[in-house]
Order: sequence, then C-alpha cells, then structure tokens
Amino acid sequence: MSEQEQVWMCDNCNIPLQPDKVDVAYMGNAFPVELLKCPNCGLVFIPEDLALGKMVEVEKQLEDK
Amino acid sequence: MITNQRIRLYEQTTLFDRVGEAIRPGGMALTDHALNLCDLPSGSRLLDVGCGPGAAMAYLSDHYDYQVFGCDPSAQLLQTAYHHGVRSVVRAIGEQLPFASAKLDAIMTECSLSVMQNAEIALQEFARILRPDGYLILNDFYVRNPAGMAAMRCLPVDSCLGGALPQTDIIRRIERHGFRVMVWEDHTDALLIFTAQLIWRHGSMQKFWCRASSHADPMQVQTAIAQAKPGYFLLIAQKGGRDG
Repeated sequence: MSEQEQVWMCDNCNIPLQPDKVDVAYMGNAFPVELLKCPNCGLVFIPEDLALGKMVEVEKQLEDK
Repeated sequence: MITNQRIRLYEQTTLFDRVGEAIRPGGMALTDHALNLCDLPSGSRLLDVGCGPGAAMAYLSDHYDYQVFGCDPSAQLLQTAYHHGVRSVVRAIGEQLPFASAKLDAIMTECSLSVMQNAEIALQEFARILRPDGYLILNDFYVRNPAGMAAMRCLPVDSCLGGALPQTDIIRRIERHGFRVMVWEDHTDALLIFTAQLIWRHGSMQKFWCRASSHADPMQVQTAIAQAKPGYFLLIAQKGGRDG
C-alpha cells in the first residue's frame, strides 16, 4: 500500500481506506476500476484530480457516442 | 508528425495492461455469448484466427470442451502465448492457413479481419477450411458514418479502425464468400467501456495515442475517429449460402 493510500481514513468508521474494485457507472455504462474504499461501510474516496481529470475524459467519451 | 512508418497497435500489449482480459472490446463475455449462440458440440474443432497472446484460447481451453487452435502472424505475440502455456498455435496469416479443407467446426476472428492485408482472400480461406454449416464468428469494428471512412484509412496506425467498413459492406462481403449471415448484433457499448478503460489507464485518449505511436498525430487520429463514429459488432455466419 502506498504512503498516500495509508493516509486516508473513513470519516464514518475511523479505519483506513483500502484499494478495492469499484464499478464506475455513467450513462448506463459501467466498468470496474480500483479505488480507495472503506472495508467496513463501502465509502469510496475519489480524489479531486481524478474527478476533474480521467473522470471528465470518460464522461466526454461516453457522451459523444 | 506524420511519416510513412506504420505502427502495429495490437503488438503493443503493454498499452492494454490492466485494461481487461483481452486486447479488444467485449472481453470473454462477448466470446461466451457468441459461442452460446453457436451451441457447438463437445470436441468441436475451433480455430482462433489472430489469436494474439492467446488470452481467448486459454479461456476457451479452461471453460469449453473444444479442440482449440490458434494462429497469428506476430512472432512476438505468439511467444507471449507460449509463455502463458498456450501450445496449439501456429505462425500464419489469415490469408494462408495451414489447415486441411473442411475440417474445422468454427472459426473465431476477434478484432482481426479488419487488420488483415487482404480480407477477401482470408474469407476465401475461412470458407475452405470450415466444414459445411461450420460457423464463422466475427467481432470487429465497423463504421457508423461511411462519410468519415476515408480519414480513418489514412491513419499511420495498423489497428482495427483502419480496416473497418460499414455494416452493409461487411455483410455483403461475408455472403460473397458463400456464408449465410445468421446474427448481426451491435456491441458499441462494449467499445465505449473499452475506451473508458483505456482513458482510465492512460489519463486520456490523447495520451493513449501519444504512447501508441510517436508517428501518429493524436489530434488527427481522434478527429478521424470522431468523423467515422466507429461501432463494434458481432456477426455469426454459417458456411453454405442460399446457393451453397
């Protein structure tokens, strides 16, 4: 686990988030990716650079179909 | 920068690491779906033309009771297949297949016909080596906007995009070689997911095309793709047309 991954804690459960498979879905299309997730409550952490970077690119691609 | 040097995208397997189980849209779910539609009996002889690193062959050997063979012109990809324990492979092009006539029950060619030098001769070969009523399972790219096809043809990258045709042309071409088309299904959603996975892996399609080729202009590639609006299809045909 990288240093950055160890830093993030779940605010609800107060335990470290761990990399896990998560289905990302948009406009009826879903695909599995690895993101930090709370092993207890399932809360997923999406960093800002991911939300404004790859996620925007994927959204544009799916909108342009 | 554009030069005459061409890049074989399908040989750059590291670009597709962590993207999925195969270097093509649909993955094994689409392969399973196609085989369920054919309902081949146990022991059927199946050839994967353009087997690449052998991912589908390994999957088929594990999940089906078929005799699975594969061929690919790329020594590099066949070596990878061999390292993964896939043995029944031969180095050959689709236009010249080292198999006896009418001995195979099915041919599967996934994202491969569109990169062959001469698809017409390849289809002639498929018709030769399949038994009567044998299945041709084809999934590949097609062009949803024929007006944009010329731009895709000029791309300096050897990929399924360059050889893609409109649906009517593909069906006509298959029928011309003595097949009757049983199934045509659009699977463009699988292509969208595949593209999304590539973006996730590389950050953007622009970065993907930059990594794929230093000779291809990413903007040119993306503009050509946007014009042609590529889709993805599954076609299943049986040897023996209306007259055959």
